[in-house]
Amino acid sequence: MAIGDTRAPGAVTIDEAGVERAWSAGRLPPMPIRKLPEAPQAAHIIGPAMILVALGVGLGETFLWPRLVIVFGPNIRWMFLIGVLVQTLVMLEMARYAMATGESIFFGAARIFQPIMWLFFVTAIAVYIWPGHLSTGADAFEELTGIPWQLSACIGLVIIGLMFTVVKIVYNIVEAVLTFLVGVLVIGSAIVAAFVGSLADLGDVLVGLVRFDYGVPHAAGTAAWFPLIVGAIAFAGPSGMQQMWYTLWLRDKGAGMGSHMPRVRGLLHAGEEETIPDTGSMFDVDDPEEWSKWQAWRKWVRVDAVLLFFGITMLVTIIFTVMAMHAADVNGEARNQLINGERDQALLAMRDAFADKATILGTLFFIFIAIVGWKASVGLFDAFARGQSDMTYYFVPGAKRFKMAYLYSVFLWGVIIFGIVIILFGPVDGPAGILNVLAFMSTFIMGAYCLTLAATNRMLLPKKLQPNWITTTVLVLGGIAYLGMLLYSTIKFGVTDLG
Amino acid sequence: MGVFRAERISALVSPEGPLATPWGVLSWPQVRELALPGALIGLLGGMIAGGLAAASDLSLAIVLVIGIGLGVPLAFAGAIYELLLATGRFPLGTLGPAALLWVIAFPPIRVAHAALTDLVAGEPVVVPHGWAAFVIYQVLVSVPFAIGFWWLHENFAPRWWFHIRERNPVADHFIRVQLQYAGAAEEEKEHRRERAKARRAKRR
Repeated sequence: MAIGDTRAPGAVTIDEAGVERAWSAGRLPPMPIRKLPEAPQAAHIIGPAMILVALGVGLGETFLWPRLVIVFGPNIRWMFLIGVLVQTLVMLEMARYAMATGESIFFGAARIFQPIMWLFFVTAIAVYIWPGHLSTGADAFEELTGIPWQLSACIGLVIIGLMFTVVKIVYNIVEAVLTFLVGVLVIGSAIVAAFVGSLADLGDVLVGLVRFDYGVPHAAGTAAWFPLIVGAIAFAGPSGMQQMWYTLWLRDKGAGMGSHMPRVRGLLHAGEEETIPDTGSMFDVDDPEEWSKWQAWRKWVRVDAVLLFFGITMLVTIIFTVMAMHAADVNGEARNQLINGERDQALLAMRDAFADKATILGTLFFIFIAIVGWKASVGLFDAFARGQSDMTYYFVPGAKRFKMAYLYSVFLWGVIIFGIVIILFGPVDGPAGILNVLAFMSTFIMGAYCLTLAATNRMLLPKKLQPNWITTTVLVLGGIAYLGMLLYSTIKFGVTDLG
Repeated sequence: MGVFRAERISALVSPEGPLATPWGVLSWPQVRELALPGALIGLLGGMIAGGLAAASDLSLAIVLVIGIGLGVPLAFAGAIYELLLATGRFPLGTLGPAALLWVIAFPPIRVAHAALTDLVAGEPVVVPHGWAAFVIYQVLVSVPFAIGFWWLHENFAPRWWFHIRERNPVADHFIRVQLQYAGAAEEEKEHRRERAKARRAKRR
């Protein structure tokens, strides 16, 4: 349920000379000063971190990290902890901009230099129109039921499209569906772990999280492992553009100044859409009352980030790693496949390993993989359509003639129809000739958004709202690290695919 | 998450119904409908492991043991959670009590389930690494199970309470408490603002 069901631009504030007050930020029109709404009681209303969990807990958590643990031992997991901590910080900074202005980070990028925003626009199309993310879940479904994965994937796509077309507020259905699926995932993971794990495995995994003294294993510097380890750290939690889309979900949730922006409606309810303001808005940071509300919003989003995002991501990954360790212990084939890195074969071998214990567990494991795949797809299709329609509405000349719901539907159904065509006739991950480019862009964008975020939050926000220097430094170093390691991997080993 | 403390209860058993709560005596149908969300979420946990046994190549006896042996006790414990909320023994909205319940209930359910499964399969009743390590491990695993349970309960049980509020005094109370809590939080914020204003005025 969104915070504040009625959306309005908010009352105009004027200065002593009778002129409307505004905050100038970057090269685009200034943001009018409006009232900040009251924050909800921390954690009483869950925030969109849950959607990020649903998107983020995917292949990295269920396959990449369990695989690295089998190869290097559980002590390598300190790197995972670092990766998720950096992502948590990025998430909090994304929230800072979105809650203070009601604008997406794409809009923020455009305020600094519009070509940066267009880079994100083009990258999103290049990377996210391919329906490859559906195939893992659909493959698992085929293993379970014998139904060809192409059929279930196409049906899944149409269901997602219809769902987002008929609902009144798109965000509400995304939140409800993913809340349920994440709950099922957590309960189900715990049940499987209760059957297949052991105290010793769990102890090793937990201790490994804080074994910073373990350092970097020698083999991690080789062509075989460097790209994988860097990718696993980069993709710990949300990857690609997921963090950027979080700013759009925050807005529809009604977080901070986002409550003055209309929500995306399903196509069938486009007629009910409110007037969309030309820019976001800013609150009066010098008003102690407003500042106190801001502090409450920061508290709310911290709980959202730490409890939901960090907590559940860690929890599910720990459980999947314990499961993989068990699979490798009892089934030599599973160990070999995990080490060889054949994802589909390794998942099959892990299924067989659990089936050694009880056939049901093997079945169950694949059900989870199917859920992991499907829940990510629900979020990704919404996110893609949401991000592209936002950028189109504000920055493509003439686009403001259309309602946001129309633009959202064009991108949603465009990617769905393209996806169905590709599933039936083409390469689901993209043409072989550009696979390396797509993989490169997927990691490149993470470095780019860290640097963009550092710039937006320091250059566009009032001084009082800006992050401290430590946070900015971590963002800049994080961005440089993503880009540096990607370039090193590309130049030294010729490998751009870090996933 | 806010904590909603109920008034202390005076009596749990009443001659007029099976369950007395601070908000009225409940009939059996009312108890059942109130217990439904927790029971369903508990059952879901069991169903995930047990219900799908039908898709595997196991004997009917094992399928039943996995399905019923795990699903029913988890559903029962989930229902108890609801009744503890209804009688005011657990506060609404906090993770701690849910975790406490499952830390106590989950390990014995798993121990009994593991033993029963082995017995029905005609195998010796043993667990890897010994019973002590097994029980400790189940205690630890019960925490993520509790988090998943609480997560689903917090998000979906209030919708059910809203649906039955007109025929169930406890559900009605839960909904009212949540609304009152939202109001109280607003009031508290207002007081804080006034205090801050007064302090600033004093300083000037």
